[in-house]
Amino acid sequence: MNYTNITVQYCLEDDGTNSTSSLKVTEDAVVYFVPIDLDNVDYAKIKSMVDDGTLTIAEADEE
Amino acid sequence: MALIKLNTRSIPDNAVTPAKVSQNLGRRNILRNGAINVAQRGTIFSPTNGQTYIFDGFLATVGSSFNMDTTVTQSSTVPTGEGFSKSIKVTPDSVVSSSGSHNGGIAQRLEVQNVNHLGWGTSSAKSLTLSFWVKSSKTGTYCVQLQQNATSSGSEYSHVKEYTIATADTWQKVILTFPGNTTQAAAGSSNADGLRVNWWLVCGSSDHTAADSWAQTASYQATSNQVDFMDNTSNTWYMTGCQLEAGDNTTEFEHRSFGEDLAACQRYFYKWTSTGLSDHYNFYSPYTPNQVTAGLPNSSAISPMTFPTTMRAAPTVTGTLASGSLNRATSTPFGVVFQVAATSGGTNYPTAFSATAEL
Repeated sequence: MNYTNITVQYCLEDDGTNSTSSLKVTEDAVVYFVPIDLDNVDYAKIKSMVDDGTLTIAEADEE
Repeated sequence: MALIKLNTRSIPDNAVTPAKVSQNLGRRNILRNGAINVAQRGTIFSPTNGQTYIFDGFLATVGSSFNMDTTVTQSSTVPTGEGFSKSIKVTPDSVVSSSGSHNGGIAQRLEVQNVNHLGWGTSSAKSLTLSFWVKSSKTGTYCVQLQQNATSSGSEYSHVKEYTIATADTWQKVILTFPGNTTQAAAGSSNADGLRVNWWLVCGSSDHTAADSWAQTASYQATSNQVDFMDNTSNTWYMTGCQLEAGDNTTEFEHRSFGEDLAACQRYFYKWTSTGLSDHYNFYSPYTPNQVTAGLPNSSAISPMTFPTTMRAAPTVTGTLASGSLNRATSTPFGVVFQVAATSGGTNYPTAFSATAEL
């Protein structure tokens, strides 16, 4: 991922809530599932962008 | 005649001499895929202004969003008689001027726990010797930087060394010995980014530094002598046989089997492709229809996969299905569970996926 044009949302848990374990990231029509884990460099980058205010994580989609 | 019973206790200690063998046997190369044999992601890449993971273990790295507009290929051009069959080849796709902190090159990143044995941050810090084969159409001075990460920003250290390509288009073996850093230990969680080896091809003037000493900086750096490889689209740069080993001396390149290198690389990237049959990877529901109706917590269909090697961290996963799209993929360093929302009839299964836990 280049993180230049990404959309990020929480994955949907079976009970309809936001997942606490993974994010759904879309970049150039490719969907990535990123674990919510700071050891993962993609999540670490996304978190830094959120902390900087340059990215927002959207709610999970309803099915 | 009486027989004398002999055992090892019967042999005086001073009657045995140590075997005359090297002290540096066994695994020596701290780098992975040093012979560029493993290429799970593919054999041709077009890096530009982001970090681009290329052949396993290596990435095209840039600083300050520099446009390293190049084509990087897995080449069969290798030094004769050294046992290599693959190399990295880089060639510019356009002439790009660098300024400020614009940098571009090829790198490998190493986990903290894989360099802790060097004893850095102590008075007995071990040196590291880097060796590699290189050839380029662009003669001049190039730089290699060791970059030591740390837990807090501003605590990183860097050491730059130069090498010279005096004759164009000729393979040469480069050997560079970096002294151990007695000031800073590799820091952070054990699986974090602890040490980087950066082979620079271009470096902007803001990041020029002196060679041959450790300095506290987080910057990508090279000396002012670093050539500008991006000044001509006819330039080529090849590298293979990369080896980083503890101590002041280099040894012959440690050729590993393809399987060994592949397994080492799969800790950071794993690519899986289906046979085309649903096999046992079909999505299934762990619950009976009655249980699903009753509203048990997991009503979706799942397909679990186990990675062949424990990955460095829970990986980012992307995958495709025989039909439809994934609802969720939940990964750990050990495996991933794909989930689709529907539990009704029909056959569906993952057709391919990749898992990335790079540094």
